[in-house]
Amino acid sequence: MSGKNGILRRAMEELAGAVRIARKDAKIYYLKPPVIMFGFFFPGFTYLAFTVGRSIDPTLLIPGLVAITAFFAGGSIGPAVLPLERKTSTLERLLGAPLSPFSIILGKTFAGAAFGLTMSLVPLLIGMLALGVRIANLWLLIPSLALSALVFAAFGILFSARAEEMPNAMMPMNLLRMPMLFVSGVFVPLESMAGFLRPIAYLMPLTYAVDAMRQSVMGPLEPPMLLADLGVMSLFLALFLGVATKAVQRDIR
Amino acid sequence: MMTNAIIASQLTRTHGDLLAVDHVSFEVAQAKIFGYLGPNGAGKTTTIKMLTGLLRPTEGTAQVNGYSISRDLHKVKRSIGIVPEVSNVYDELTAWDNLAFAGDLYGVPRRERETRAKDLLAEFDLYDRRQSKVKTYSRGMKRRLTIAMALIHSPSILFLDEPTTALDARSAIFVRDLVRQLKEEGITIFLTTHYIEEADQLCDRVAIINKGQIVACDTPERLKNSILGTHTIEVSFDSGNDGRASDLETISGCDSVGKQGDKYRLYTQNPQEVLPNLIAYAEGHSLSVITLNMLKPRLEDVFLEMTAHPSERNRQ
Repeated sequence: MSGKNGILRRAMEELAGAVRIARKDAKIYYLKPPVIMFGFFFPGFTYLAFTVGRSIDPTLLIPGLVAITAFFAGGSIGPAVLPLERKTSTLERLLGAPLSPFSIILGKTFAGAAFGLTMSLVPLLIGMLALGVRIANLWLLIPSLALSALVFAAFGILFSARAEEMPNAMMPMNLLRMPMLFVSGVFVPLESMAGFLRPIAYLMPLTYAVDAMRQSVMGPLEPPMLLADLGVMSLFLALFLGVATKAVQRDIR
Repeated sequence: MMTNAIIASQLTRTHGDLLAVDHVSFEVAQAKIFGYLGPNGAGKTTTIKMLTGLLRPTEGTAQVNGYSISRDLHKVKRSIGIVPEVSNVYDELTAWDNLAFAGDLYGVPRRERETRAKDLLAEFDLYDRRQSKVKTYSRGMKRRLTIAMALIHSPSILFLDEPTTALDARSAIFVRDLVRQLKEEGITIFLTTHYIEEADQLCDRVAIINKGQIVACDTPERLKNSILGTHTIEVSFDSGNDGRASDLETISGCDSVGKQGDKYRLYTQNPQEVLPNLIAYAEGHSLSVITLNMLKPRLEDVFLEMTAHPSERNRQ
């Protein structure tokens, strides 16, 4: 086996391993009560709490709702999966398999992202079919949504990578997630936000997801801004995956 | 020519200030059963974890199936099966899905995986329950499934960490028979166990580890012969436990005394001297001897001898 072919084959094996882990996680964990609660009901109720009784155009509503559904649903898989896998020693099974820790983390991220993506399609379809929302740039919406779901899933994995119990992952994550909702342009556009909050908003991955969602659903397209959104989300994804991998590697150090 | 499946060289692992495994070296021949015995916390699981890539050695290295655990860990992992102390199966999946996932992790092609899963489920007496969720399984069934999952990719070495702990007698016998059968099939077995009798029955070679160091490594029979100098006399009296035989260690020629149930064990280098003195002691204390046996050294005696704290030796 030549060097290049060997590396490519190994990379494909690792990717296939990650997909198999994601498939297994989907089968076991998608219907767990905490996942349903934090992935489905929580974003819905949170959004309703801030919008009911206010006259808002559905086209303005939907991008934010789609983004926070991906945000909560994608992030709910990590805390439901990793602490339990560590407790039952099934994480050791994965670490003992011929797969890198990165592939294990990637597999769990895929599982979270697929859940986040699927759940966020619910408000999107409701908006399109029941509220008559028209998507300005559908071709852009799907990759933006997929990347957002990956980032938020990796965010959940990051908080779970060292946790031995679900609350140990969920509580600090929610401590950061809840304020993030209010400074990421979901409910209050960045332009209307107090000046001192704006730099904080730009440190939040949700800000970029909401902006990409808005451009996709409402338009108009602003290519430099869109590229910046996708670029920054990719950086966040790499950062979360890298740190989570390092954290899981501590199990075998 | 016999080749070695595992060669450990000066393997060392520290956890903070604790030296869990201290420069251990050993070799395991192919298609043999190697027993790794030691008290709790001796370093058995840490050694297995280092050999299987679940922990990095602080010092030293090892070759597993000819691959270095530091440079070729991926190849090492492909060629081994691991059965940890805890049965780490997915309770929410069926036995069939657990096996399919285990095969998937090792990249076993689908058709081969299905054939192998069927064979293993039948062999492990789980086929009829293959579609039941594992959370409905007994402890023994979960253990069998864990071993089946470790064999799905046909490894040439199987690491078994306390495979029969907490199993009922029938399940434990099943696992022991299976280990023998796997050896017959050419699989090398690295086995840790608390049950010394089990190691004696199963293992071709045994290493005894205590406080992170290997204190003896040989065949069970040679290990027993190594303490042949020490003889054991087992005696019981009609007095039961009324305390009249409380100072047996004062018998001339007796090195130490241990008590097992209503029997006493006298350890000595010189049984010819102790036996008449023991009879005289019984007469002097108005004790009737019910049983009196000279015992052959057992692996357990070797284990106790090798792992006892110096202050405990006299109490054994």
